[in-house]
Amino acid sequence: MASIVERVTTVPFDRKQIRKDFDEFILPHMPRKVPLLNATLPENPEDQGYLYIHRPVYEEYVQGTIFEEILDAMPFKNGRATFIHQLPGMTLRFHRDPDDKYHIAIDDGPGAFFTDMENQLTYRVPCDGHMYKLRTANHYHTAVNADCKPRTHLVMNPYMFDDDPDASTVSCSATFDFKDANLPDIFTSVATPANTIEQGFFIKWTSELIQDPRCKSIKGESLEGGARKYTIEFTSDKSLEKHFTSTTLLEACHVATKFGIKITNDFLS
Amino acid sequence: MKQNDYSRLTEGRYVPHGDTEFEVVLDRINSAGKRQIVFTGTMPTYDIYEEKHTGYIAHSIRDELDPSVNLDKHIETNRWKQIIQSEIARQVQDPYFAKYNFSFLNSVHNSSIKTRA
Repeated sequence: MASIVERVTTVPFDRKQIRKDFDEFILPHMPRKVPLLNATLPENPEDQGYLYIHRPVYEEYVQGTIFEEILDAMPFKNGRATFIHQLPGMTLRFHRDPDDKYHIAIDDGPGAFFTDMENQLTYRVPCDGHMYKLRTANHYHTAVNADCKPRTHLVMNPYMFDDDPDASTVSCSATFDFKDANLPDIFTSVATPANTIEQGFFIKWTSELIQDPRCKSIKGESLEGGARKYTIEFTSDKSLEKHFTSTTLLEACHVATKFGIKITNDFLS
Repeated sequence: MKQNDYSRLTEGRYVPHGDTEFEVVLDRINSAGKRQIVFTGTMPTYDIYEEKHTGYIAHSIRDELDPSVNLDKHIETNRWKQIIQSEIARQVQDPYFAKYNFSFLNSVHNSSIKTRA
């Protein structure tokens, strides 16, 4: 069975410098409650809330550190990059990502694991200065820290848009609204209908969007009553038509409507 | 128990809960002048732990047809309903089949939400 964790560098970065720069420059900025810290920014600060956009600017605390060197050396344009600092005993909820992730382990003890839920296989991501690609796109996985020390990684998302950034663009939106839906009464405080619908019905579609080099940005907005609106920007009319009439989207929307979720596809309406 | 055997624990939790329903969810002429069809079958599923209908199994077939084709006859001749039924049967045997299932998917992709073990 193919591993979903793959090393993608031949020469490692200086792992001692990685630890030193993290402890000295990054850790002091790490939030205590939700230990995630952003590393990259879009050129326009107003675009910070986009789900998917080019993020070529580095946070001030990253500038001048080895992490700037690492981000500059990536074989892709930078999307979101995040320092994740899982404290002992902390686990991620199992989930799918819309894209594959690239990890540099900053601190990863022998009790920290990355788990491929679909194949029930557990991996170590070595803390050796190498970058690892984790095939998490549309694939259920989680990360568990059963160690006595934090599990700390820099997680990088590639920005795969590959067209003239100054080319004219076309945009279209899709919205789901569940206020009149007949959903089963099984939600918890952290697993709300909005994020469950997003995770369960739209991750595969988002994954297909991100893989299209003509997809320039994805904006996600929460509307009144918990509805979610996605606005997708393309540099190609054909790409827009392809994705807004895709089998993935139409099947998900069809099933959603069976639960009473109202779907608006601005391309088809 | 080996680690890989664990997946078997999820088998049987979601069981078929009704007949497969079929619908043409796309029938349009695209910008290239082709008639695009998406034909979808859905079967409700029941979560035996929650004792609720919590999801659907679905499968879709996509095709491009001449605008003059009789769609109902095309679906029958090409056995699209049987193909979808077969795929749905395959998904029932897959412990991760629960593609559109609220009790399986009450998770989040936003990793800012975590739980402390």
